[in-house]
Amino acid sequence: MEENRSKLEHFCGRVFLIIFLLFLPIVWVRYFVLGPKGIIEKEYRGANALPILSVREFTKGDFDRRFEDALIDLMPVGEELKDFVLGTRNVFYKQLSWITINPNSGYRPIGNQVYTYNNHNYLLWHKSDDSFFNNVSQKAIDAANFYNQLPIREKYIYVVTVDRGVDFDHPQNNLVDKISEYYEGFQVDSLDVPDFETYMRFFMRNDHHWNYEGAYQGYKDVIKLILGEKEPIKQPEQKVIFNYSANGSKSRVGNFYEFDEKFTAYEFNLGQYTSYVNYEKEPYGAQDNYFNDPELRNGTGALTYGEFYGDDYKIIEFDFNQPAKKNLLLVGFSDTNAVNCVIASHFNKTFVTDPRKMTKKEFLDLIDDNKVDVLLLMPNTGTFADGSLLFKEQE
Amino acid sequence: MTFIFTFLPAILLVYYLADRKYRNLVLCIFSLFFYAYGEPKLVLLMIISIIANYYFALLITRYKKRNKLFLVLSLVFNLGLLGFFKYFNFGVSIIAQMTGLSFNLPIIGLPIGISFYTFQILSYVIDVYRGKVEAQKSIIKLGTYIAFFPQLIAGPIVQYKDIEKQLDDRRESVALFIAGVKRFILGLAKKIIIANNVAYIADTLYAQPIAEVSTTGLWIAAIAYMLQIYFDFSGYSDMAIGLGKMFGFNFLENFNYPYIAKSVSDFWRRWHISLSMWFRDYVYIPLGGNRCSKIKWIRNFLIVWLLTGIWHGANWNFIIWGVYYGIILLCEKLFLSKKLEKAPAIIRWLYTMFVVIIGWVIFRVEDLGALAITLGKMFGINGSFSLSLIFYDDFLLVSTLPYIIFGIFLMTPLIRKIYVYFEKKCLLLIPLKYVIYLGLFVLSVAFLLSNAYNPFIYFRF
Repeated sequence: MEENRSKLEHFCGRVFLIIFLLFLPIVWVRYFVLGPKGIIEKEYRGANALPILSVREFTKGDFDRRFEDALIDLMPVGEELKDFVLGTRNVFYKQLSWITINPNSGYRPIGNQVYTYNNHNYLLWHKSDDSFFNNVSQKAIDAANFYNQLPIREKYIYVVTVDRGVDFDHPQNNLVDKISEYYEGFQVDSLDVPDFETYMRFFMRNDHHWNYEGAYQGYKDVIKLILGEKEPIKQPEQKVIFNYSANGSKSRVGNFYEFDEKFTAYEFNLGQYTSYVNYEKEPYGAQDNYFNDPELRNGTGALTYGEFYGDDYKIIEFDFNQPAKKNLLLVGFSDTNAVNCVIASHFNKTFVTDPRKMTKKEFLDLIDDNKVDVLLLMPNTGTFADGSLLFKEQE
Repeated sequence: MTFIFTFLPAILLVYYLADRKYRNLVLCIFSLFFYAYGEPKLVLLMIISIIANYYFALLITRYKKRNKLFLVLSLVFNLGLLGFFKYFNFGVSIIAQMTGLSFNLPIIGLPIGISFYTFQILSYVIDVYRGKVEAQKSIIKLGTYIAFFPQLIAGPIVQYKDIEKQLDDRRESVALFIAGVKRFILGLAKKIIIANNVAYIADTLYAQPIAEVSTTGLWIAAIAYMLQIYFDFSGYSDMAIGLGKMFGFNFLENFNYPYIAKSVSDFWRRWHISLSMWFRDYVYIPLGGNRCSKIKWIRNFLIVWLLTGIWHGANWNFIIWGVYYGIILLCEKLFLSKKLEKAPAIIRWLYTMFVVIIGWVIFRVEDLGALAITLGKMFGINGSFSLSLIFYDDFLLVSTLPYIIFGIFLMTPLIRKIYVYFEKKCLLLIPLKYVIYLGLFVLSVAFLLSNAYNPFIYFRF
């Protein structure tokens, strides 16, 4: 018996060791045999690329994080392993969900700080802590002071009210009053989300962005705010329901892919215009491709907000060649990507900038070099309160 | 991921392909690279420490009449560096508080692992001075000892005398390598699967405004932290010991199921054993230990525990923590142990766990005001026994409670005892054991991939 035990231990130990040692270089074997992964399908994003090993890159400070992120994406069956962990966790969450029910609230946590509300099939973040809105950050105040001093005649601010900005158990909107305290001389408006039914109408089921209806409402509100009731509103030519699944940020954060919906968008006929992305003449976004290319229009798979409407850039310019109309300077984030072109169709030239990617000096030079008549700020409730509107000092 | 799938296979390949006489060089270079990866600029500090202490030891050996001078220089150099990087900011804040002045000084960053490798260096130099070990003539071997990557970041603190012979003459073997891999996987699983998940509860609850956390919540946070620090630290020790075995080294154990201890004295014989031994050998015994008058013995004891607290962190709560244990241990040695021996085992265990948990709360909450409120609330002052923060506000807290239960189960040697009992009766357990180890490894990797919460609390040292 002892001899058998010893032999079995010997044999099993060596098999175990061989398997372990074969496992160690698996990431690099995959890399050199099959090449880098292009897309992480389940998460609908490009794979992180391996950073170049150089002294400069190494001493930048984030080489190790980028290398780690790239290795995670290179891992064979990595997506399946992630799926297993997160999926098992979600199944477990559902079994325990009865423990979390607060009878006084419609919010139902399902994991990873994601919630549903009143058992609707919609994912949302919980409203941010009250102190986030009651004690606006110094950076937000600095941002307001910066914009207040700009030598532009007409100034507007339109805030996209997102889920973090509303407590659906006790919805109230004093956001316009609060913003007016800081932005002197601005006309202020916000996307009105008085209840959860309106939220579901205006926002994507599993992403933090507004959907086609919310974006259209935002466009209408902005035009009314800046140009008045008499300005004709562009009507969509049609509503297109694609076969793509719209899988957004809230699904990805916890593998909540069952909260799915078809990607839907309004198609507009905006006439002729020229667009520049970071000063290069090129189309912005992929909307036209998806509407006009039959293969894309009828495609399946996943489609994200950013893939369809366009990414965030330092500067995007739309030139509608309407010299009788005003020039607009629009400062915003990804929410504007769905509406920047249709808003621009009411102006001559429109410059869309992202404060996260542009320096203060570049922004001021942009104003000096172009005849800017109208300034429009379009943060959401989060980016307003945390001061993201403030341009960075340097690259 | 980088360590497991890049660094480890690379070093294993180069090490085992290299001729035996170059293997320490391989370890030294890779260890310095390992350190540089996390601290690209401060690796120079480590290299300077290696070179300086190499010469200090040689000078101590060569100039016997002045060896005390060189020892003192070495102590000043090493403790000076440790004091500067670890305690400068704390010292400045004390002066500022006492004088009311404000200083516009840069914050000094703490080099990773400086507390660990400084103590290793000191053990070497002091043992050379005492004549217990020969001064290492090879700077490479000394560098390997000081910078050896498995225990560089989080211990165990390896005394030079325990590794001296292994630097010169060690024999790697398949059996030892297999044992090392198993130990490494165990440590990885402890850290990634248990520690990281119970950390979430502790960190989330301690991050809340203290007024919003109930008494129940604070006790759960304390228990979660107790488990976090054990599985985190012992996990890293297991990984270090396992990695050492892969290269033919045998390090001493650093933990021995501390949470089954039935007295605080016993707890400290099981927790961070290498640190206790270091303080015993290089502070307590040189001060006289217990071979002196009672007053001096008490003094020696309290000095050791004060220093133990200071070693753990540059803040008042760590000092209080050290003194807390010093007083309790003194009480046990003076009169409490005799009384405890008469109590049932369960009472002794509960007493020990109570003392340890309160100790961890002192260790965790660095702000003294918040600490006072936290401890008060834990004993019902302005507290409530509501479960609301735990159950209603973040589901993730509920879902990680099973890790607490699992952790409590695993902190005992029960599984090992069950396995050892059945292994004798059933041969099938042998292959099953290896399947479980592989499964744990894959599961740990899966958890890493899913970007589970991955803090490492002992990096501050």
